[in-house]
Order: sequence, then C-alpha cells, then structure tokens
Amino acid sequence: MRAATIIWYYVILAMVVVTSLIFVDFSDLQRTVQLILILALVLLIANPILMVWISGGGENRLRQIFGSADVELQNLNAELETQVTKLMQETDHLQEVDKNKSEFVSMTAHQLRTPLSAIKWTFHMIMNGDLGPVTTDQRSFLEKGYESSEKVISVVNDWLNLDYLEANKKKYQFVFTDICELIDGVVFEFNPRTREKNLALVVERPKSNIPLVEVDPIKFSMIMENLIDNAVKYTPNNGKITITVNDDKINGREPAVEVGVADSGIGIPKAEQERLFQQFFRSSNVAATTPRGSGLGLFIVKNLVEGHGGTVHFESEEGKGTKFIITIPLKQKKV
Amino acid sequence: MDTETKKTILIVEDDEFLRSLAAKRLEKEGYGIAVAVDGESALNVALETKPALILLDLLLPGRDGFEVLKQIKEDETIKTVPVVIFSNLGRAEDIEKAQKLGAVDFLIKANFTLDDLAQKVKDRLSKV
Repeated sequence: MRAATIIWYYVILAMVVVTSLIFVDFSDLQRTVQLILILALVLLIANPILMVWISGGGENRLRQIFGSADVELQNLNAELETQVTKLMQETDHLQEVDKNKSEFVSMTAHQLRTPLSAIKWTFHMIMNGDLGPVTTDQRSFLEKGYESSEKVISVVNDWLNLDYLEANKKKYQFVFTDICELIDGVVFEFNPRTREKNLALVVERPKSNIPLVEVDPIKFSMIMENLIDNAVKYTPNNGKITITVNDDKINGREPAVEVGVADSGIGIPKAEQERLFQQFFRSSNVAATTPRGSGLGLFIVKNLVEGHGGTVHFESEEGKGTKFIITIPLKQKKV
Repeated sequence: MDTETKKTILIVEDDEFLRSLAAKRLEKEGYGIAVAVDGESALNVALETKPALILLDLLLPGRDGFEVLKQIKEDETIKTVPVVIFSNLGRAEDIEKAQKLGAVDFLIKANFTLDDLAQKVKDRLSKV
C-alpha cells in the first residue's frame, strides 16, 4: 500500500511540474511558482520514502546512528575536557619553569658578579696606586684586566636585562608619575661616572610644569639608564650630555611627553644607522673605541618604549654626537 | 679631616674579601668602619655602633638583608639611619622590595668601583 501511495505521489506531482513547464510562459512570477512546485515535489517524495524506510526498520537504524553519534560526542567531549585540563597543567608547569628560570638567571648572575666585583675592585685599587706605586707597563696590563672584568659584567647585566624583558614583556604596571623626578634619580646614579670623565650631565626642563605621565616607573628608569649609559660611554672626556623634557603638543596627535638625550659623543656612521635598534648590533666606531657593551641596550630601549605605546628615533652625525628622542603618550590606551 | 668623614659606616657583608676591600677604601676617606658578617649580628652591631650609614648586602647567611632592613626600620633608635643596599642581586623586584622597606639607595656592587662607592657614601651623607 505504501509503495502504491508513493507511486501516485510521483505521478501527480510529475504531471503538475511537467504541465507548468510546457504550458506556462516563463515570467518571473511563474518561475517562482515553478520553484515552489519543485520544492513541494521534493518534499512529497522524501516524506513517503522516509516513512517506508522507517517502517522497514529504519527507525532502529536511526536510533543506532544517533545513538552512536551521541556516544561519539560524549567521548569527544570527555577527550576535550582531558585536553583542556592537560593544557592548563602544562601552562602552570611552564609558568613555574619560567619563574624558576628567572630565579636561576638571577642567582647565577649574582654568583658571577660577586667574584667579578672582587676582580674589578682589586684591579682598580692597584691601578690607583692604593696598594703601592705601579709602573706604566704594569698600569697598562692592569687596565686591560680591568676592562675585561667590565666587559664580562656588562654581558651579565645585558643577560639579566634581556631575561627581565622576556619575563615582563606583558607585565607593565602603569602609574601616573612625575618623570622629571624619575630622571633626576637616574642621573644621580651616574654622578660617579660623569665625574670620572668630567662630563657635564644637564637636565633641561621647560618653564611650564610637565604633567604626570602614565609610565611603568621601573621600565621607564631602565629606558633612561640605557640611553644615559650609552651617552656616557660614547662621549669623550670633558663632553656634554643634555637631557630635555618637553610637552609634545603637536595638534592632531595624542598628548605626549618627549624626552631627549643628546651627547657630544662619537656619533653613529650613516651607513649603519638603520641597524641601530637590532639585537646585538654595535656600530663599527663604538666597537673600536670601547670594549664594553653587547649591542642589547638600544634593542631593550626600543622594546620598552613601544611597551609604553611610544616611539624612539635619533639624529646623529659621526664625530659630533647623537640625540635620542623618545615620545611617550601621557595616558595609556585602555585595552 | 672634616666632621663628615669621621662618621661610622656599618658594612654588612658576608664575603670576607669584598668586605675588606670596601672597608679599606672607606677607611681611606676617614670613616670609622664597623662590620657585620651575617644577618643575625647586623642589628646588634648597628645598635652598638649607631652608624651614620649602613651598607647592607642582601644574600646573607641566616637572616637575609631584607629581614635585616625591616628590623632596622622597626627599631626606634636606628630607624632613621640611611640604609644603602649594596648587593649583586638587582632584579627590578629586589629593588622595589628594598625601596618599599625603606632603603635609600640600591647599588649593584659589580657596576661600581670602590671610588664610586666612596663618592656615593659621601653624596648620601651630605643629603642627611
């Protein structure tokens, strides 16, 4: 009976469709009617076939199919939950490893710095004649020893800074800060070195007050330390380093502060300027004049300035000096 | 010798060689030197000698430098003595922690010469 019914469905609907195709003009309205009829035909065909299939045991098969799909879904879900738990455990583990790595780097640096301090201080004391007179020859050897200890210390420091940068690249603690006060603190730290080279280290402030700037104080200090350290290292004795702090009030730009560090140092060769912020890059005249430095300072500066949503650029003329200018927005964008 | 250089500096340092070098250099400046070799004795020596400034290492046997600093700042009789951390640790969190506990400065030994140290001590004492 069911088979006969299906055949009749077929016959009637086929007739309707064929008739409409033969006798009717193909206007848009008629095309729409034809489409509806074809759809109805498909439904009418599908319906009895499904009924026959179900009555012939298809229902059980459906149950089997959906039942097995359900089991499969449950299995997948369980597997997914296991994977999520595993990933969370792995994240915890990686964070722990990262923390241990930083601890390890810090302790190793400490263990290296302690004997290095002893070596450096001893060379310096003997060189100074604190332990008795030294000949010119002896002094030149002592100077080499002292410079070598300085170089290893510098590598250890850069290594620590890089580790800090890596561990804290997303951890900025922004606070509205009086950056002039921060800069004064950093400058104070450089007093012994500027005195040694008889360098004038001057901070020039504008007459109007600089507003508070939203910075991470520790990271902003690191930026200034690196820039001033370079200026001190690469400026010959009796030179001048000028730090300027200005409101950046250019129309159309977000309010920012501009800090400049200008020196009367050896400058950067033009051909090498575009590589200046690359990791481990040291310009040829710098490498020739001073053994210290591993080429990480400006790479660190650029990373930290960009972490503040700011920019860094420089102007330099070989033999005359370099000026680095950093621009940092007064307020950080809310993420 | 002016009155400033007659002041006593307490050096809290467990490394004997570094301690003797620093002491020798500061003595040359005319300061009186007191020493403590571990965290346990540091507070007692500070109370006995009433130094003008304390140079404090952080990694010390027993009580570490942070604990010593905390104790110094809790003691009414010596809490105003400026404490300069003089250590080869120097992570940002170490510096921040020391500042919060009341240290006036944080010097990383390897980054300074003893001349720098002497100058720092002089600068710091002139601020008191």
